[in-house]
Amino acid sequence: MVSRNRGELIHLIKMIITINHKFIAWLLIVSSLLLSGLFFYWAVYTIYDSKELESRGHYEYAKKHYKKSYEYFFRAAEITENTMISYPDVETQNLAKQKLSSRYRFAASAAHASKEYKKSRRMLKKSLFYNPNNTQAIALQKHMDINKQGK
Amino acid sequence: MINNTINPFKKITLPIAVFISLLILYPMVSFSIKALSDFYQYQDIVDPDMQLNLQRFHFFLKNRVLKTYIKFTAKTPLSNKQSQLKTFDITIDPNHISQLNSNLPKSGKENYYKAYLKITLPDEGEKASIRKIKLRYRGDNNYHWLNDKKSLRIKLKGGVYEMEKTFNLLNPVELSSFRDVVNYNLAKKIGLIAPDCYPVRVTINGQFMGVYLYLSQVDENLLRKYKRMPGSIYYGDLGVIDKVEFVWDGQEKWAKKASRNKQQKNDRKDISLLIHAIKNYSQLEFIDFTETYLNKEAFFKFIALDRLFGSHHHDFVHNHKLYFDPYKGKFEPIAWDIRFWNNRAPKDRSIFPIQLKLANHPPYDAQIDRIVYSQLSDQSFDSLLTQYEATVKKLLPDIQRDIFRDTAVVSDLISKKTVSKPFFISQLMHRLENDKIILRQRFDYLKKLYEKVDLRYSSYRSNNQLIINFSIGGNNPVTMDLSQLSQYKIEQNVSGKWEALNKQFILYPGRHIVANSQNFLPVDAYGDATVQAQDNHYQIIIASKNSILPANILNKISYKNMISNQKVIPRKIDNQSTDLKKIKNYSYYKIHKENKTLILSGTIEVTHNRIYPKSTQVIIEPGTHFIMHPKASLFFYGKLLAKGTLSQPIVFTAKDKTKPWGIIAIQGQSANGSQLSYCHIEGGSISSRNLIDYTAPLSLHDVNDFVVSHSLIGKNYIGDDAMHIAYAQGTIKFNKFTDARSDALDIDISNVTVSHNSFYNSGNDALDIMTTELRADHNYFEKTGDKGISVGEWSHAEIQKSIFIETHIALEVKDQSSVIAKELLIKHTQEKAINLYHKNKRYNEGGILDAIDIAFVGNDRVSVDDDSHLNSISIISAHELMNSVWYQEIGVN
Repeated sequence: MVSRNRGELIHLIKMIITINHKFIAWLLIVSSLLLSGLFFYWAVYTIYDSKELESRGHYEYAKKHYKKSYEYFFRAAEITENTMISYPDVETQNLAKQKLSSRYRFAASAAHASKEYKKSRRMLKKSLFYNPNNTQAIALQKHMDINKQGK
Repeated sequence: MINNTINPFKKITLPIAVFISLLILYPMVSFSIKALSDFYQYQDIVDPDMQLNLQRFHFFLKNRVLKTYIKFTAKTPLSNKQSQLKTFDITIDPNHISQLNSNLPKSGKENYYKAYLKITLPDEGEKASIRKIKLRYRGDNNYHWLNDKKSLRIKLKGGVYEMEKTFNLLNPVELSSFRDVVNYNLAKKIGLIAPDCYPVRVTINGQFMGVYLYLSQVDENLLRKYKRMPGSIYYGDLGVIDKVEFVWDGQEKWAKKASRNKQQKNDRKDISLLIHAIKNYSQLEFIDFTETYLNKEAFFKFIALDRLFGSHHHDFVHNHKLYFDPYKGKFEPIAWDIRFWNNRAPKDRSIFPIQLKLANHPPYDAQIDRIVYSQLSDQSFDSLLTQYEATVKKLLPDIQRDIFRDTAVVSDLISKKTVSKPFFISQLMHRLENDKIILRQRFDYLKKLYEKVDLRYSSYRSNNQLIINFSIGGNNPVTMDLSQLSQYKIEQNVSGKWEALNKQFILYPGRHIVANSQNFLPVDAYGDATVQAQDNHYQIIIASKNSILPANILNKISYKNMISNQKVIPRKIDNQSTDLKKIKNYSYYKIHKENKTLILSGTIEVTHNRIYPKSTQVIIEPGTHFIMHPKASLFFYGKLLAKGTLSQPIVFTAKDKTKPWGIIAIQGQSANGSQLSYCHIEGGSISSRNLIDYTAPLSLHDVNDFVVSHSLIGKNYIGDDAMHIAYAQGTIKFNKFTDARSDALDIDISNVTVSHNSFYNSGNDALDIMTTELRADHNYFEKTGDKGISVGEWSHAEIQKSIFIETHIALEVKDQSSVIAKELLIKHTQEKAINLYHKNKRYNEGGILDAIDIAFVGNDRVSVDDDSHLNSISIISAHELMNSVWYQEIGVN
């Protein structure tokens, strides 16, 4: 049964090649172009580095593109969160927690600036989870409490 | 048919399609291979633990793609003449480059290789000369030597460039590296020793390597450039490459890079004492140590710069360079690698033991804060940013053409070590804008900190007296002005006793070092402690001598923030409970004791060293006779007034003429205004104290406005000089120097007038000056073993109306020194009358002389070497000079 199917598949391919080799040639060229394009797009535009993401977040925030800024900060925080577990010692982990707290706080500020208060509260919660003494997060939370934002 | 020939796409066959696909895919494969090659090179040389993963592959691939993009889009490099930067053209044998790269990083630094260098100034074109150099790579971190653009250390062979024999050309570490230019310039402006730092262009064998940073090497040449006496330089720089060690843990962790002389190359007494003090002394003991052994003003400035910029680059591990001044006996920090600007709290982000100890002493901390506050004006801010912008603007045309430009980053995903990546000009400009915001925020943070005062008080009346309890916290001290209460008795509580108060009184908030409070930087490089503010409590009492205290008496006390000088209104707190044990008294923070005056007279046997502290002014009465026992010395750290008379001179003689006594030292700024007249000093030798070696029986170091007059400086033993002046400003007049063992009068790094003195029979030079401003007139020199006057090592002198008889050489001018000489009579010199030459190759050139009305009798040889300049010389007859009034005066003298 399997060999029969395989035989049919090979026969079908041979048929396509014989009947429409121009189509195959073009398919090959276009797929190479697509692959190459995708490859270079991935190479140049993808960011894996949390610092670079954070930096982009600040850049967009300065340009008042708060939603984009939020995305960058959130991704930066996520990457830090994922890599933190691999840190060997408690001290480095503590430092990473502080960094993580500040990145979530940046995300909270960006969300707050774009008036997405519930999202901002979620980020603040995470920020204070990793560093309950983050004074800027506490200040933002107080500000939101006073103005009854996101409740 | 026509269609077929016009449109080749219709003719496409499978083999052609495969070929085209391969062409399309080739760059992808090629970049991937290069990225993998870069990854494995990094893994092999820098981080063997690093394993290949998608993110790492992506990082190196992206670098390759961006580098290629920059390479193909960059414009042709500017010519040397078109650029606004200095250009350093290096020519080196390609085999030497291969050897440097053969086994990095070791191969890059173990040997220097011969090369040639041409330095072209922006407007100079092709006029620059070619110099022989030796070079190697420099820097511990991989961003200095792993990539195409390598940081270089250059040693000039047989000469100096801008007074430097060795300098560095650095691949700027990161996008913000050009703010180092601003950092170092400010360090220089406030008076710290700081290397030169500015952007330059570098080419190697004709290949434009891009924009570098020129950075002086911290060595003896830098000390000389800053008019400091050559002394020990220590590098506390263990690096953080593989293993974190605390550089402050032991003297052996400090590399000695310069010394006072060859004999002291391995002498480590100075650094041992410093590390011992840091490790073992209590806070109060360390304050005493600071007053004696640290140039505290320089340390305050050093810490102030870190505080101003929010830099965290000085720590327990690296980036410390210390100089020990052999004549001041004090350590001085050298500004180095401030690098970072940070907008955030806290006040101190650079944390290291000396910083902790100095900031923990409120008066010191306040002085540091005052330096910082003085730099916080809008004008200073604008000046810093203008410099930064101007630097970037100047280098922009060249860095746009720099295809090797890169910036070091630390990425969690790649490696724990730094890794370089290329950058776009837009990123550089964005960083510039970002840095401006950071600095603005830092300045705003500091202003807010320095303008906030937390002063509280409560008061109560009791028996016609008012008792005020003060509590002060926060950062800033408050100056309390009591001058409007002069008719009242005002006292402070000093450990339960009442003591009179001055009209001005400073209420310092407390400081204490708190363990486990440092949580913003890695503990393994910054320790876990910081200096924190705490409340201090003071209690004063105002009492009326004969009337009732008015109700508004409190309004007559005014308060000012000591840092910002702003008026302060203290907060009144009712029923403030005061724990008397917590009350601070002013004297706790007073460094100097009360001044007193000591009068010495009669015959004084000096059996052992006598030390008169800074707080003691010593008056020696006419006719006082010091009988100096062998090796016994007198050290004056306060003002000395030793004024004898012609009939009643002050005499210093040896108890046993066969055994020399030590020295008379007048040391330090508290001795300013010291005067010695009609003193007879004979039979002294050398001594040392507080790490200072005194080489002459009469030594004045670091003293201003001194006068030594009408004295006899006689024979000395063992040491080099009969009288030694260093870092001083004053007058030496109407003295007689006889039978000096070597030099009669040696003056280093000073500003001195020497007039109406006579020098007889000096073993070596009669008057020897180094890096000094000298005005000399009406002096008489006879029979010297070497020069009458030796003007050397970047000195400037005006010498006039003087007589030189039977000197070996009458006048020598050397090593970037210049002399204006007028009306000199030079008789019977043995070797040369005048000698201009280039002796010390640490200086750019030899001597320069303008000589007017010079008379020679006998030997009239004037010698000028290739590096020296005799601008002019006019010769007159000896007879003419001998008929002049001044000649007769000297004769009388």
